[in-house]
Amino acid sequence: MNKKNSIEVKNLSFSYQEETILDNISFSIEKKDLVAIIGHNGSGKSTLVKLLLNLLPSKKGIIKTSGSIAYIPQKFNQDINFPAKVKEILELECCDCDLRGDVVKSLSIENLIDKQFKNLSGGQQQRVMIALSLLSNPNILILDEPTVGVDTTTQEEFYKLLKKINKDRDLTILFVTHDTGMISNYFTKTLCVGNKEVHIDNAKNTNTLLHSVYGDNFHELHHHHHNHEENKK
Amino acid sequence: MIELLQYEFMQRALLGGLLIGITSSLIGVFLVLKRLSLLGDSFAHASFGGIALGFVLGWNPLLTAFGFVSIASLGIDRLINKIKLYGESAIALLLSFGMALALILIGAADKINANIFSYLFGSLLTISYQDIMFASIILVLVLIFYYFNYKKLFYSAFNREIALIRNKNTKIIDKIFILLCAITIVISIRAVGILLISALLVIPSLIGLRLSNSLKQTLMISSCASVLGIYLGIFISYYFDLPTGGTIVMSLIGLFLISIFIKK
Repeated sequence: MNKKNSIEVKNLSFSYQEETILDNISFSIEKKDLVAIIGHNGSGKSTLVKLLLNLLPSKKGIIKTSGSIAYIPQKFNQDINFPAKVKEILELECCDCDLRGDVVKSLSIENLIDKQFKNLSGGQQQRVMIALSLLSNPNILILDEPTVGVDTTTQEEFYKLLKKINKDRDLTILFVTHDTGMISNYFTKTLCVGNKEVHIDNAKNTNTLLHSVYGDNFHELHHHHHNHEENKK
Repeated sequence: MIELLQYEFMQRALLGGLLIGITSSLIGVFLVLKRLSLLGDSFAHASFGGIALGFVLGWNPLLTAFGFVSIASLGIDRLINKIKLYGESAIALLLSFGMALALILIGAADKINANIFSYLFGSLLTISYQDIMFASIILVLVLIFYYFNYKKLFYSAFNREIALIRNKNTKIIDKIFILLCAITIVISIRAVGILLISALLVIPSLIGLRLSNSLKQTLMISSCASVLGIYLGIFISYYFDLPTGGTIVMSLIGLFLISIFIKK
């Protein structure tokens, strides 16, 4: 494996009930990359993420990763009323470590430690989930649309936070999103899944990338956020 | 009251209630958090099939039910994870299968005595020393399992996707938990009977969840509420000559209503 890389995928294929989802894809992601993963619903984004996390059996091809991966699933898969203190949740990844240390401080959740998880706001719960993932000292962090259903201000704060974590901790971050409007502002690379293939480009070229994968249909993806006006034209 | 405690059957009932109350609430809290409350009902009905089988074959009914439900617990896991049935459909399937098997066996074998129906409604006041021994062994097994795997169980209940990534043996832990759940239910039948078993698993957990500030507190409050409900049920049913199982469940519901008033 190339030392510059954090993830290397070679000739990876995956089928589900005889339908090919990903067909012989190869790509690599460099260390410290902040990657947005985009693609239509059902294009195979989640499948790709699950393959990287080693949650799916019977794949063809090779996936190499440098170091451990932490994962933050979709907000809807989290029981927001779970009856535990934030402290108890963070202790899942922190046996002897200092709960008032770096991670907790950098996410500004020191004052939430003794509160109940279910009494926190959506944004606060998200920060707790990030803290939990960072406490396992991962080299790679994968997030699956954690901002769905969150208001725009909270979303933007979240992106800023990701950028900061990415810088401060030299962490490779992969972020599955439908929100293509903000990619060039916060991310370094865009990985587009479509037509059973995967394409990677600089985040600045996201629109060109979407065009090349989806042709004129790329607005379907685009219209989810930010660009309602554009779609009406 | 003191006089009552001198009766041996009462001592057995109180000891059995203590053991069964703690075990079922420890299991119940995680069942509720994992959204598997109905699994208890399903195992209880399946165990009725096992009990009937024991009666027909002349084996110890509870031990036969233990074996039967343990196999059923593995079967339900396969139905959900391999054959991809919806969780609640698999639960309904197992529930009907156990009940149907019991009815057929009872119908086919004339020699079955009316004793089998005591399992439907429970009778803590007639609990035997053998049952108490089973209950102690199960409580010890559950405590040992929780002592070594509390964090993994917690993680799996909090977010199973992350737990699967972080702990390679999450699936095994979940399977053992379901197995412990199955055998806990078989012994809890003694307290409230097959028809009311869900109450013993779910109501103390709901009380714990209402009144606590943390998961550990939830487990402790649920255990206390469970034992308190069982004791209230035993005494009330004794003094007013009421069925013990039903009275225990009503006491637990009473405690739950009080918990609503305490923390609105």
